[in-house]
Amino acid sequence: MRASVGNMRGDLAGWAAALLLLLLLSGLWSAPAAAGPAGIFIERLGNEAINVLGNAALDQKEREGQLRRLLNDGFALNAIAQFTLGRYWRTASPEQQAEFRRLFEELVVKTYAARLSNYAGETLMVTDEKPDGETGSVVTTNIVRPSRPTVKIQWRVRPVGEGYKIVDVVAEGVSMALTQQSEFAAVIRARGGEVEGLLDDMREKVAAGKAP
Amino acid sequence: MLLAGCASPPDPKDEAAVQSYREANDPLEPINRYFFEVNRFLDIVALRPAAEFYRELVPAPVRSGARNVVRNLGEPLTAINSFLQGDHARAGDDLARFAINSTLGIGGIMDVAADPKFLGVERKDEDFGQTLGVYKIDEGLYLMLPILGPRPPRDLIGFAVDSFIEPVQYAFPNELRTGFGLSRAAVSGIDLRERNIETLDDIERNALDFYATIRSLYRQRRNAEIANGKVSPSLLAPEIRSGATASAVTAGLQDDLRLEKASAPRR
Repeated sequence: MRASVGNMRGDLAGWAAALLLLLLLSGLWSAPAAAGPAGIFIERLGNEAINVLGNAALDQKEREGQLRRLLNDGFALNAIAQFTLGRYWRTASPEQQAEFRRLFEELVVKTYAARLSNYAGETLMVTDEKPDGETGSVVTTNIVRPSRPTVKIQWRVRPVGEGYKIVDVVAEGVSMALTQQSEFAAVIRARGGEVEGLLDDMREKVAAGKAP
Repeated sequence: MLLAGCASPPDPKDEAAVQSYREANDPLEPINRYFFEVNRFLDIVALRPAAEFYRELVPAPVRSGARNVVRNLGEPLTAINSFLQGDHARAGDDLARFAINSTLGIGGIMDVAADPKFLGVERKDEDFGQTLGVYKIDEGLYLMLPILGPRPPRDLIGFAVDSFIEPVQYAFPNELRTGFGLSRAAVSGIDLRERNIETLDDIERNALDFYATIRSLYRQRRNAEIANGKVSPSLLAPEIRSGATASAVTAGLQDDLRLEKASAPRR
C-alpha cells in the first residue's frame, strides 16, 4: 500500500496504464477499435484472404486468381521485386527487369497459393500499430492457429495514393523481403553474376509448379 | 554441382559482385554447402524419420510435457546468460520459473510459472552466443558444421561455453553426465524437428537455393533473439521512394488487372 502524496502521481499513472491495457485487451476481441488506418487495412486484407481460402465453392484456379488479385491489391509488388533483386536491379536490362517482375509475381503467387491451401481455420488479430520510417507503419498481428502456438507477424506498410501497400512481412523477426534478397543474390553469384541465370532458375521453378 | 563456383572472391572490378560476396560473408561456402548436404542426408535417413515416429507414437500432451521438462532444465543456463547480459531482473525471473516449474510443475512437465496465477512470466531462451551478441560481438563468417548445423564463430564459442557452464549437468555424477547431456539433446532435437516438419518442407519446396535461404533465416533469427524483440525489425525494407515509383506501382497494378481480365476467359 503506497498512499503517500509523493506516490499519488505514480499510482495514477499506474492506474491509467492498467486502464489503457484493459482497453487494448478488449480491443483484441472487438477488433478494429484499437487499430489505426494501417491496422484496419491489414485486418480487411486478412479477412478477405480468409474468405477466399474458406470458400469451398472455388476451385484451385479460381482461388489462385483471387489470391493474385489480393496480392496485387495489398502488396507493393514492384517495390518488393526491385528490392529483392537488390544491387543487381541496376545491372539488369529493362527487359530483364520486366521479366524478373513477372516471374517474381508468379513465384509469390505459387508459393502462397500452396502455403495457404493448407488453411485450417487460422484467424488474424491486429494487436499493435506503430510508425515505421517517414510515412509508413508497422502493424503487428497475431495469427491464431487452432491447437497450435500463435505466430506473431509484422506487416510493414506504406501509404500509396488513397490506401496502403505492404512492403515487407516479418515473421518472428525474419523479413521475407530480406530473405528473398539474399537468396536471389546467392543464385546470381553461383551463376557467375548473371541476372539471366536467376531468371532461368525462376522460370524452371514456375514451370515446375504448372506441371500437372 | 556442390563444389562448383563461388569458391574464389569475385573480380574486384565488379562492384555488385564484390558487395554481394561481402554481404554473404561466407568465404567457406563450398565446404559449408558440402556439410549442409551431409546434414540433409543425415536428416533424411535419421532425424526426420525419428521425428515422424515421435509424432506418430507419442501423443501430443506427452510430447508437450517432454518439451517442457527439457526446457525447464535449460532455465538455470538462461538465468546465467540473462545475468551476464545485464538483465538481472530477468535472471531472477528465470530462476523463479525454474523453482516453480520444478516443484508445482512436477519436474517441469507443466509450465505453471507462465500462468498469471503463479508468476505470469513467459519462458525466454538465452544462450552465451546471444550474450556475446548483446555485447556487439559480430557473428563472424558463416559456418555450417556436421550435425551441429549453422554455427558461425560467435555461436560456436557460445555453444562451447554453454556446454561448460551449464549448471544442471553438474547435479549428475561424472559417469552419468554425458548420458544425461546426450539424451537431453536427443529429446530437444527430435522435438524441434517434429515441430518443423511442415515448415522445413515448405521452405525447401519453395526455395531456389535452400542453403542460401537457411543461411539468411539463421542470421535473421539470431539477430531477433539477441534483440529480444525490443527493436523493430531491420530498418531495411523495400521503399516506395518517389511519386514516380508509387505511380509505377499503381500502373503495374492496372497492367496486372488488365492482363488478369484478358487472360481470364482462356483459363
